Amino acid sequence: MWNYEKRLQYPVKISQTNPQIAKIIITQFGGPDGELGASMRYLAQRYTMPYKEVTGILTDIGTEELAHLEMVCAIVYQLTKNLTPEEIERSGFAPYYVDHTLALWPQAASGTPWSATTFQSKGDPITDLHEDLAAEQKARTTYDNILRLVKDPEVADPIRFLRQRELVHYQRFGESLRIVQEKLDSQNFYAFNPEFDK
Amino acid sequence: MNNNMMNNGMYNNNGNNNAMNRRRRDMSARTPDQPMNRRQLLNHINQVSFAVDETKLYLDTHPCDREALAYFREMSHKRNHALKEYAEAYGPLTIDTAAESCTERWNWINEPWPWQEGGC
Repeated sequence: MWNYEKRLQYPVKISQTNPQIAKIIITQFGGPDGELGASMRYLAQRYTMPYKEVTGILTDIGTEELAHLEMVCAIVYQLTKNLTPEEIERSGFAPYYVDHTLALWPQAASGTPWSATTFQSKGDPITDLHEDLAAEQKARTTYDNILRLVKDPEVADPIRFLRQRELVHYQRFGESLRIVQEKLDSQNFYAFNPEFDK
Repeated sequence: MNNNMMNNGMYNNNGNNNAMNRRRRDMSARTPDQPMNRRQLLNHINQVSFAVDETKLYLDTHPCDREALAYFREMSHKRNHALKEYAEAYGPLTIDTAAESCTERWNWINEPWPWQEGGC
């Protein structure tokens, strides 16, 4: 069960449109290391997670990623609001516009549609948490790459917030991995998969 | 010394280290005698909500940290109080605060959505 909260986790107030940078930033909505994939990854992995601390972290980080997805969409929406046909042509936004007008659709910067093949839900806590740690670093790199291209401080500010959250999530997944390893250590480390072997 | 005792109120004790530390730690510092305007109240909600989000993740992997538990309780209380105050004055941000502010009409859809101009 989820409830909607009618505010962004961190404010997005962009006064200048910029469709070129919107085409780059949309990758954190539907790209391979974007927020939609992040949320689906953690929320999918949690059902078979046998340790309550880690089930909690997957649920709560997976939920926060939905709030990040909303922030990324708000950034793209505000960067492409009220564009004229001339601005669309001049900025190279036409290939996106022809399929989606000015609506939001989850795709990578390359135009590749969002896909569940960008993440795994493997059913082994050691394996899944290593994937989650890598995912947070990949998202952090993507935000670093975006920040090198963004000149507008009104855009850079919420992107920096999102980048910082990747670091915190990485930290919490690291602690989760330690918790799993300690629990396994008390039995027979790596000899069995606690999500499958009982 | 006498001065110290007189100034030992919660919000105007500039010389008290504990009060200063509390203010530094507390992301939600506010002066209760001056009502906040809409923007200030929203900023306050964003700050205490962030504190709640951050402490929630920390507590998932440190469930017995008493200091974090106390901080969570304090921030969660401030958040719930501010959300109620906001709903009564400007319209609801959460469904649980919609009842008080929607007696005449359904205000949930009235105020701008977060990505729109004037939204939160």
